[in-house]
Amino acid sequence: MLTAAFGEKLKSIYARWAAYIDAAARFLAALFFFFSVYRATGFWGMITPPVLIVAAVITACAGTVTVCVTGCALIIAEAFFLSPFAGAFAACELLLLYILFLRLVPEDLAAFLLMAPAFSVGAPAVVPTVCGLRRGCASAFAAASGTAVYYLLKAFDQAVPEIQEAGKNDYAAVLRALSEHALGQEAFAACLITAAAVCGVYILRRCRFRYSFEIAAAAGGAIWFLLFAAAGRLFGVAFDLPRTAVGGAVSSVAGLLIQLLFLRIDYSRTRSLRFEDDDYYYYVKAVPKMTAFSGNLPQAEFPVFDEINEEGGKGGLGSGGNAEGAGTGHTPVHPEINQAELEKRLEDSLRNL
Amino acid sequence: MSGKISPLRLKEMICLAEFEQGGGKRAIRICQYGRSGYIALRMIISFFFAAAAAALLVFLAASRDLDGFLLMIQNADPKRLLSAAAVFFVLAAAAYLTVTYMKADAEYRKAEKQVRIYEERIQMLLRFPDAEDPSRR
Repeated sequence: MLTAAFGEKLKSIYARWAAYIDAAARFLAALFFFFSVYRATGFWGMITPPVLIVAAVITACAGTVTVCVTGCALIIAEAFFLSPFAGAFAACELLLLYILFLRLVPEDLAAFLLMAPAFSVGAPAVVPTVCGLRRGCASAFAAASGTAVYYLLKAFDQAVPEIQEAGKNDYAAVLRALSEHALGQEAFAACLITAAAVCGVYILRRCRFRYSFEIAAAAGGAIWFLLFAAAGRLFGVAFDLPRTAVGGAVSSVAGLLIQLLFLRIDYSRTRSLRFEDDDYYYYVKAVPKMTAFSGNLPQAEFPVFDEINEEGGKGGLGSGGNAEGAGTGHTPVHPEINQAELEKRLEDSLRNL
Repeated sequence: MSGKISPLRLKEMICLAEFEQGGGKRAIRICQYGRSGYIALRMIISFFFAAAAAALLVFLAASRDLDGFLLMIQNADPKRLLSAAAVFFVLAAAAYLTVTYMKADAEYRKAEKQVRIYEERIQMLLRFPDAEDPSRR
């Protein structure tokens, strides 16, 4: 109950200060992303931490797309100072990622931004787990693109000695060095694993069995670790498995925390219901979401579809409200709706807009 | 007419205005087109993106051994090379346009639903009485 109350409190705080919280979250995402780029590259002397902080503040105010565009421009500029051909390579890869993936999922750009910083701090599985729990399978595109960007940044770091040895104007050597690291088997496997982890968590969350939310939250890290271990054997790549295991454990903890705060379900009040309309019988299993206000409601207050049908006549879903609504512990629908109820209904429907 | 507006009505007007200016802006723009017109427009744009993506894909794939790739092109039979390029492009574009079609269709359906609810709310707002409007009592 305490976590449910805390979750409700967080939601109410967010509802009140949404604009500021969103801007602050964008600022942090931008800052982490820019510093990941700076740490991996640092070829352009003009880019210093104060410049990055100012850039993060400005872009956070402008929006997530601006943060992404600025971050990608920063990568290209840094690569250009390493070698003009490295800049061209980075531009081509980022443009390809945009066309193939990011253009299709503009609403999941946060996953793209946070993937590289998550790899840097050693907990990359957190992003796919959160994507699977809170978003859909489509966010796998954004998360996989973020992984590709991390490997691009890593490639700059690894390719510097080769490029310096060959000379920065030797286009063949520069491109070979970068493509071996940025488009190698390790990068390819990591992108696939990221996408698979998002889809795995999402599929588990959508399963109908009991405690599927909890299992999905905890399984994110396990899926991540197992896939990396399997890919290491399959592709013959030496992944850092102890680090991956620690990252997986951290992501499982993060997933469970999110589940406890925002996705709590009260299985003890599960009801199997039956109702009908002219054409069909409906067999519905209603599992109520646990909120701070519904946790202590007695069983008798829970609405039953058959009763609703008797009151409101034969009408199916339309007359009785949907199963989810029935499960939240609200009072049954009455023909006469008072002002407060009408206001609440209006707010609910407007929120759905 | 009384000067007072019901707080509920005001709240709803603010919510609708927020929808118009925020998340709903795009949905309203999408619904200005018919379904097939919107999907066709998205697919035409995506065709050019697919062409660019195919070129970038070839460049990145060849970047590991760019000299070898250029030499291979120089020595290859132009007819076979062109037909291979055409087959690759057609397959890549078909895959990309299929995804675009699905995405545009889903987008249009979602926007249509949102705009329908929005219009219903506007109708409801017009019918909703002001708080202290004696003419409505």
